[in-house]
Amino acid sequence: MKNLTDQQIIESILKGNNADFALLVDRYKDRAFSLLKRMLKNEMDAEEALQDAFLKMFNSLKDFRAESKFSTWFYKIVFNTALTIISKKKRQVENQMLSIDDEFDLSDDQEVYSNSKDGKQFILKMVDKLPPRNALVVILFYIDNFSLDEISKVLDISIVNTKVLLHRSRNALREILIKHNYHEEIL
Amino acid sequence: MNKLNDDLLNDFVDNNLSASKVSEINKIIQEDENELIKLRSHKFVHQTLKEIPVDDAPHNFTQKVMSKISETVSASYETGYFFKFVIGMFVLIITGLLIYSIKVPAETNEKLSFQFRNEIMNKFINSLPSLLGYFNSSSVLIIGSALIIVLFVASFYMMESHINFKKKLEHFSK
Repeated sequence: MKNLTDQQIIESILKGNNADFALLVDRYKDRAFSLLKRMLKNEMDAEEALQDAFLKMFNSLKDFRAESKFSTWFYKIVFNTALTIISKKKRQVENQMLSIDDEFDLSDDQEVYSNSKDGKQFILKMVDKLPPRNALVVILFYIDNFSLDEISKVLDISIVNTKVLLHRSRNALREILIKHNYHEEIL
Repeated sequence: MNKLNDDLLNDFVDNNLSASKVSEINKIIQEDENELIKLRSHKFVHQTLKEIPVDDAPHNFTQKVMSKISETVSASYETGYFFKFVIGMFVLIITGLLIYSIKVPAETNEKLSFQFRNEIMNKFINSLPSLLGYFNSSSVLIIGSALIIVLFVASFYMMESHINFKKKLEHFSK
């Protein structure tokens, strides 16, 4: 059963084998949770969003068109659910969800810096400080090995803007790495 | 070109540069140590991001999702059967009323309506004889019945939306 493709599992669920949905949940829950944790900056919110996303996915499985990759479609649901949670929590969505043209600030890094034993740990912790959309691009690119084209479909933005988000995230992380003289460790 | 800009650094780590551009970069970093630091740091970020750990979803997460799904599915089945039953009853009543109004001769119909009126008048609304005058005609009876059915349907939907609203409230409060 574990070797079934996403499409085969979906077909089985649509035939009435609802229990097979557990295969999809098991397949995606960890990666989606990692993504939501970094977008929402909170484990409880991430769990709530993840449950909502899976329930939404189950209820709209019949609408899934196999022309697109299932994972792209699923992460689109996850992303939109995260946005809903952010606005529900009455956070400043405008501040969190920066527009593509806005710069973001990672200078509030002192606590992370003092709790990091090396440059690697520092960078990994600073990923959690990225704005939600930048975090999503980084996670999908590096954990899920999504192409820029696939990420652009999840975010519903152009490939160029997706690339901008990825590059800005890397640039910002590089700058704070140099700021804290971690380059001495690297060189 | 004697400085490494952000685009160049990103294209370098993504292997999107031609061989000539790469050799240009090598020349720059040999001449300027700050540029070497920039390039090494950028590569380090890129390599580190490849090692972002995947966090485990909360314990029993799959079971929680599956139990929520089975609740949803069974609730929709129950609603479906209840809805079918109510609609079936309405269709039966309407069909019965139509057959009754067609089959029973107008005179008999009027007679029956009159008897019915008297019964109601004697038992419940002796004080309102004028109101019952409206029920003399069979067509008024049918229209009245149809209106009652519409009322039933409306109250059914109201009840359903109330139940759904309550479910949503419970969901948000969890």
